[in-house]
Amino acid sequence: MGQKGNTHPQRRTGKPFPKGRQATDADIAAVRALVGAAHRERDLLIEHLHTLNDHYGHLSTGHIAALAHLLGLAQIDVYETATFYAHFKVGDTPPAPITLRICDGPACRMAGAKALLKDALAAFDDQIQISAAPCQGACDTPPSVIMGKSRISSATVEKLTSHNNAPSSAPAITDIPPPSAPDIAEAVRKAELRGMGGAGFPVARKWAFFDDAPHPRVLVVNADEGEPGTFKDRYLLETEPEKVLRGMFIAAQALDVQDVFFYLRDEYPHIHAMLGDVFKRMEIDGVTLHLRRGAGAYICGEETALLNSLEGKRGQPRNRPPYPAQHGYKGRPTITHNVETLYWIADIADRGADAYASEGRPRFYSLSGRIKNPGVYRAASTTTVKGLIDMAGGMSGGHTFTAFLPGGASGGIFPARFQDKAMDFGVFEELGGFVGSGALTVLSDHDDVWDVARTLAAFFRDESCGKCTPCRIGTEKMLRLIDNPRGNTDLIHDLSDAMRDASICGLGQAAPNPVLSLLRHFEEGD
Amino acid sequence: MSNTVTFTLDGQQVEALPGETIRKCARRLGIAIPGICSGINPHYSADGSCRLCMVEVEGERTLTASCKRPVTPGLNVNTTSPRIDKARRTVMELLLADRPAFEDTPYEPADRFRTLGQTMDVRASRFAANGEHPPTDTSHPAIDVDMSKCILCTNCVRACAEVQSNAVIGMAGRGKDSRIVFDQGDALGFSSCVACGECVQSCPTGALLPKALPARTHDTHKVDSLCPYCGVGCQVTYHVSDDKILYTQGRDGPANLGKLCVKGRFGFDYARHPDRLTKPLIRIDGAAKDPAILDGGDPFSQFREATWEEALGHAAACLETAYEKFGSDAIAGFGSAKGSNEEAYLFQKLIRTAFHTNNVDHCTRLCHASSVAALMEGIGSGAVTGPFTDAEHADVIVVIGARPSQNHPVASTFIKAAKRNGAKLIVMDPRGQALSRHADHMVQFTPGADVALLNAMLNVIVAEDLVDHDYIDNRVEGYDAFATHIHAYPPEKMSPLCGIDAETIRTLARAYATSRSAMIFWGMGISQHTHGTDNARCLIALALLTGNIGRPGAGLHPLRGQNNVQGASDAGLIPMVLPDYTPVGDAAGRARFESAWNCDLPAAPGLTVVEIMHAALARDIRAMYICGENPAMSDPDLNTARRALARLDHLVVQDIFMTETAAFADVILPATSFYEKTGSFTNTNRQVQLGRKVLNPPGDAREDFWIIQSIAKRLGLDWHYENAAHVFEEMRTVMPSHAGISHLRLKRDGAVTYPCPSEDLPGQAVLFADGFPMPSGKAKLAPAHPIFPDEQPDDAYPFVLTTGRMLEHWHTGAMTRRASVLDALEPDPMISVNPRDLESLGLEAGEHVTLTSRRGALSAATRADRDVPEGVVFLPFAFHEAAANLLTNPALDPFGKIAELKYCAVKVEKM
Repeated sequence: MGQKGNTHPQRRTGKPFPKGRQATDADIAAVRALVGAAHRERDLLIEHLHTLNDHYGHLSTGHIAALAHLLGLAQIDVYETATFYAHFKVGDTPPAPITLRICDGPACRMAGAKALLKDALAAFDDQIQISAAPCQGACDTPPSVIMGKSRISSATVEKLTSHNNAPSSAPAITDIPPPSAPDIAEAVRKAELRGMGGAGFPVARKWAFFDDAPHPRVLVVNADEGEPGTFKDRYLLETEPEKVLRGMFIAAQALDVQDVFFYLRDEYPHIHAMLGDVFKRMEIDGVTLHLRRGAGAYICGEETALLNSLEGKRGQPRNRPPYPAQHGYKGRPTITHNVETLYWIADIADRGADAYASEGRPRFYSLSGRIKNPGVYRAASTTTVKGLIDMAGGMSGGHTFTAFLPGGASGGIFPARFQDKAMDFGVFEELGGFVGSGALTVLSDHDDVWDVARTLAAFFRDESCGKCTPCRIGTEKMLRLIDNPRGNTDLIHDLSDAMRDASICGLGQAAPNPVLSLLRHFEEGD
Repeated sequence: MSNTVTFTLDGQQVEALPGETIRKCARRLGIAIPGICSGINPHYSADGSCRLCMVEVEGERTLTASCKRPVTPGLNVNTTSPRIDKARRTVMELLLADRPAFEDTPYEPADRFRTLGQTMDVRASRFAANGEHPPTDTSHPAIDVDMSKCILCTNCVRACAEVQSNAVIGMAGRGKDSRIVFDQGDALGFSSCVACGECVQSCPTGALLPKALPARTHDTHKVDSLCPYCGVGCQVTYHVSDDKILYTQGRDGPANLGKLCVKGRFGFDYARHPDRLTKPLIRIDGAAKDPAILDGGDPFSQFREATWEEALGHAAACLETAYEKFGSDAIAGFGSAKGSNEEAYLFQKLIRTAFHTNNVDHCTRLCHASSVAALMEGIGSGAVTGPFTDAEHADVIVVIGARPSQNHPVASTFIKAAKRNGAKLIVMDPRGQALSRHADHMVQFTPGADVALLNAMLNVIVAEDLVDHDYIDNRVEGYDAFATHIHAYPPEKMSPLCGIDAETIRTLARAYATSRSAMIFWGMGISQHTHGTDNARCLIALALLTGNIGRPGAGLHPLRGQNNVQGASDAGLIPMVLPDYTPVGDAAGRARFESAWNCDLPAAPGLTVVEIMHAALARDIRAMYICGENPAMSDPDLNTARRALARLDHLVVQDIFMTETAAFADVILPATSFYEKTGSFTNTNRQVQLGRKVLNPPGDAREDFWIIQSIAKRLGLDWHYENAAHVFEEMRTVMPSHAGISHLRLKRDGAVTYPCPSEDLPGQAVLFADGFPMPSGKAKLAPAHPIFPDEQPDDAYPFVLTTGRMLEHWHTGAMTRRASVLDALEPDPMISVNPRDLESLGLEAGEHVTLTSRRGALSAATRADRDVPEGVVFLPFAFHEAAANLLTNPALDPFGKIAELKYCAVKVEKM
């Protein structure tokens, strides 16, 4: 039994208000002033919550009640969604006006993020709210910090204390001429282009799902890049946004969609500013463009969780089937593409399928960790681990290559002896891993692989959506079990089997990978 | 079977029904697959989150949740294998890891998770507990919350959001911090919870439990019966131990599909309240009948206990004396819509045959008499044309003058679900309500301006020719005259009267008229006016002009209030008609009953409820037999009604409590509650259902059937009914609409819809597909002109008082005020006032005020309620401490003889 909590006096008297919290006229007026005459659809709920959270720094019970009232929702509808996303501060106590999130991802940890967090807590007063946060997609310039709407790279305490808190400047973008790529479907098929979000599903096969799909149809751009170690989508949107958007338009035309949703992770405010501006100017016939902000949830990179998030709900994955191509956003046929995939669609439209194929089906790898020049590198899909490390100038001085993560947090941890394996789809699978989004994190003799595994296990525990049992409880139990991995090997294996076999989505299914690959390749020998 | 899907299940070629999931199909074929997140009955959606029902599908990398996976042709599925078993067992261990040890509970639903673990032979977990337990929450009068037991199966979430469409419960937080919460993480007792208890019934772990259940019980048994409260007619299973109801469960009845509301779920313990009458009582000689006794006096002090023999003899003798002295016109009887069909039938038969008068009525007079008058006039039948469950087939649903979420909560779940599934919902009422949030159009019009608003809509339909002319030509009379009449009511002209702008009126009219099928639901907001019949005429005209009657999803549905107001009316508990709506003036019809009952019957209609009270005051009525009614609380202008009761020479009251009416009795006969007898009851959908005896009557209380028959015998009637079934058999023979319904069939089928002319036919749910029971076979359009309510606010009485029921309290409160949970939820009379009016009156919410009308005064605390428009106050009539009907206006609708309980002028003064 839990301890005694809320109790009530035995004799009750009539309540001076109807049941439940009543929205006050003042709160209704305040919320209406910010969100306008909100239309009574739930799908803009997260945008409205951002508006309130940005303005007040938190979401008060009164404002949640008022927003529910205005949207014709129940308070629970708003509260469920608001409490799901890390970037919403739900509660009546206004937090410090400035939030400072220090990245807790593997690359940033290697660069001293933990010490930075400790020093920052000592250096700032309570005017700043400091917290650790999952990977911010800046593994090339660690440690990364986001202060308000400003991204700070290679952060130090001095840099933070002297920061003026101005938003990061938006990348430049030129106008995009109307795309015309009538044969793109065939070209994409010929090029054997695969989805670059991580699953590597052939794009042509995805598009074929739309052959007989009814209208209205939806294209979703998944820019919720959150796999630790991955920052290529940010890079592409910073350096070649025109090409990504052109790819988006080409896909929208080819798929004959009526709505395009661009779902951008909240950690990239400078890109949001750029897109917000450009979406106002750009038009494409018969298509409505929607820019949506994530709110701090790794799981929303998962396609169906993202769709729920677009609908203003908790970002929980859906059971499949039905697949989104048949039953996606609000039940409409929906295809989702990663940012990089759109880039390559534009590239194939520009150069043709043959050029793409002869370059070795290139992709953008995010390289981070103990290497000389972390960054995004364009290379053929067949490039080996060693080859990529060489492209990045080799190991950092004083570091000896010992291990690597080929696919961010989910792709497993492997010893250096596998360095000649190609960083391609279908290679690491037989070893219990995968390259996914192409995020190579390089470890050295300075790193303890079990420490890294614990960091990743904690990441999965924190980012599990909580919907299904194996992942919600399993990730929490896994973190405890690997305190003593050698003593718990059998149970770890049983748990991992259940998580891989019975979790709804890739998060829970892949969450045991770091631990299993350590047990297999580091503990047992291979 | 058509469209079945062939697939392989555990090596066998099998057929799945269209849309069937693997788990449903397997279960149908006798293969049990574990699972805990798919609800408690087939009406729940499966969540696919517990992951206990995993199966192998050949060719797939991972296992799949069989509760979510539809069968597709050629699927090759294994439901058992070492891999599956291991995954399921590990998942079970994870679910068991963090929860406390199981405790014994008599509440069966709460044991399902433990039982499942036992079935899977997983009783312990190898995983270390995280040791964090949320605090318990005992803030709610009916439901205890202990989330340390919760396994996040989310059955409660879907129970609340989907099954009941209340949306109080949800999952907050993320990952390991995920938790079940109410509203914004509030204590349940302070949340917007309406205590339907669906979540409690759906919870498999005991995290949500009914409060105050004993830890262990012996000799528990179940009785399948009904709910005693509203006209929805929910089927209920009562779990009984030691002649006491422990708890209830919703049954899969046609009207409730397993659902219940707070009253049906938690409102049953009034039957064991110490206030129950257990001995016959006779007024002490010389004890004066004085209404003042109701102001805190002790009515029991005026009575002495008596034997049944003495009490029955006295009751019958005094009625007989008055009859012999003053004749038929001096006698009247009030039956009750809370009694069974059989009791209603016997009661009206007794009054009619023993006293040769039609002065027999019941509370239908105060609820839908005007609706019935309009329906009889327009379409020849007073009951609903289709069941409320047909909302799922409607494109447009109009709810006007009704608050189903409060007064027909389970019916409202069908309306809300229909809206969620794409129907357009139009709610028209001066007050806001729980449905407002769901409505596409919430039309808060000026109180009493129904006809103006509806005529304007009708005008648009005619002016824009949205009329279904085929339907009019074949089925309806009087169109041309009606079109001419309605020409005078354009929206622009009606808008100032009803407070709704002309464009909105047009939008509403078009939405209704252009829909494929539309249903109209209405309640007392329509009927309890001096223009109640006119209001209903307008609604009927809407349906007739657009052909929206006689198809699934198209119809007229006056939501009946009491659990058996339909059945009591059917049984002839009405002064103008004999059973089956045979007019008393219809010589042939009357002759049929004269021959069946072997007596002469009067041809003149009797007096109605309020008329009888007036006649009693005038001493035209001298003696009354009141069975289960409480006019001293329910009638308008109570001071007058109570004076009238006090003036009777003789009053026999048969009831279960010392009601306000019983306080004026000469003889009080202690009767049985709903739970203590067997009989049939007819709900608002015209579904006849069987209520079975659950408990034994307390003390010397006797079954109503026995009491009525005992009086009848003493009045010289040769009655020998053995039981309810015996009475029902007689009813079948004189009521053609019930001819096909036998008690045996009721027992077997649970519910049979009437009309049902023969035993081999199903009942007819949707009526009038082929015409109307009118002399011409055609329906008749009746014009209505806007008239103002009888008593308008003025400088002296500037507010409009409107009265009604509330979710927790039933009618005059005799039952619900004595049901511990319901009384705890709403313990005091509260006058609902708009917050802006409170402010302008200089009042804080909760402050007491005096409410005065030209007929009476009372005081109670205020409730700040934005649903009440400015200038209006609302007070439920269930509270004897502040009896709303002291203030109400007895002015009657000329056709339905219903009082204007929804509108009178009052003043509000700070105390």
